Amino acid sequence: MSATALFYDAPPRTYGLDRLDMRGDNETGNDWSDLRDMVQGELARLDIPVRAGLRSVETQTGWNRGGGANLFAYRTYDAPNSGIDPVVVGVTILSDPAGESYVIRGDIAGETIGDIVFEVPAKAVVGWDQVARAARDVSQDLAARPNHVLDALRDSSRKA
Amino acid sequence: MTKEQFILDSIKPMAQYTFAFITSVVGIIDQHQGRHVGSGLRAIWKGRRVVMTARHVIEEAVKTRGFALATGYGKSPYVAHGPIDCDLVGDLAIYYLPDDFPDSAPEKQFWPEDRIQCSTERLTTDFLFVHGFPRVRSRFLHRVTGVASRSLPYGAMQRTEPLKQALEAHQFAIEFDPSGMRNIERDQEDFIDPDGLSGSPVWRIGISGKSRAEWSPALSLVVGFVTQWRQDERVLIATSAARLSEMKASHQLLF
Repeated sequence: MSATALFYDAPPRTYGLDRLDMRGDNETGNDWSDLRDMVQGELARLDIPVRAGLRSVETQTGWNRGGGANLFAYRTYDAPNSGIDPVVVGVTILSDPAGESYVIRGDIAGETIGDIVFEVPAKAVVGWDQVARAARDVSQDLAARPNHVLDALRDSSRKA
Repeated sequence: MTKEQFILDSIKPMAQYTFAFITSVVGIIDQHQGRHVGSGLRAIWKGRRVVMTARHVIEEAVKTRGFALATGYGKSPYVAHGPIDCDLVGDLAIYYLPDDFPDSAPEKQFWPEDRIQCSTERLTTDFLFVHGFPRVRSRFLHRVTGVASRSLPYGAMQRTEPLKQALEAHQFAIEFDPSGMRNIERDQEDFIDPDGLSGSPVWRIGISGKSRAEWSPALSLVVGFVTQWRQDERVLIATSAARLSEMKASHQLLF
């Protein structure tokens, strides 16, 4: 008795491929710098409506990592000479040690006093594409809230 | 290249790469006849040559006159004997091959121990690959006195949505839809009954976290073994390879 074998032609299932963490073919490219640029691009949409409401506003942009975050990309809005605490609009991305599942958070908060003006509910996702999508969603949610930024910059109770 | 294109292109290399490691578990009917009852993986485990499969495959195989393992085309199959370690919880079995099992031939190899992933790391973000022998087309061939089995190389993502019957902690689900599967020789659709796939190894192909340019089948890792088919939910259920390290030698099947 002996045995032999031939292949069947079985088409692979493609359902769920959005979770496939294949680097290099993602819409945000393959690295954190692309993701950071995307987030910054979305947050920058706040500039025009915020300046329209407060002409003297000064803006800074930046990013860092650490404290458990893979990326914290932010935009700061300051009403100079007002004594009111500047506002930071930021998106934070954290991952598990394996780099497989991520949590994306976004908020508008005081730079010095740390008060939370607005917070986007945290999103837990798996896979790089989902990270990019969630980061964009969170950024767009924040970018749609210039009034939160303006109200905070006009709130005299927030003097630092 | 899109993900879909990459996946389509990866199946054939994975099939060719893994074929040398899979085996058919053949229930012995008599000295001239056998019947394929399940699939398995030839591997090195704890430094020894083993065949890993599903426990229920072994239990079904020994209902006849024991079972045999293929040793290569045109060669007599190996008639198994001795103890088999069984996992009562995870439905796994490890058969430590006795010393009289033939040395490996080029077409019959043993999967390296360090490429068996005993965790669930990156299961959800990698592409899963199953390779085994469906039962329906396995058949006895008088001319070559053997069991001829066409292997089924198949790929899909993990099913992460909850199932009607919840999975155990050691299990995971793989999307499985047998429609559209073809017999290459006859160029027509065949219904693939995946019963005989029980015991088939499941790999994650190793693309997760890597680029297409970096990938080759040599990055693939065995992550589990097929133990169930839930036809109504179109999934295969696999037991994680993590169960292998929890198996107790006290649960042995002797024949």
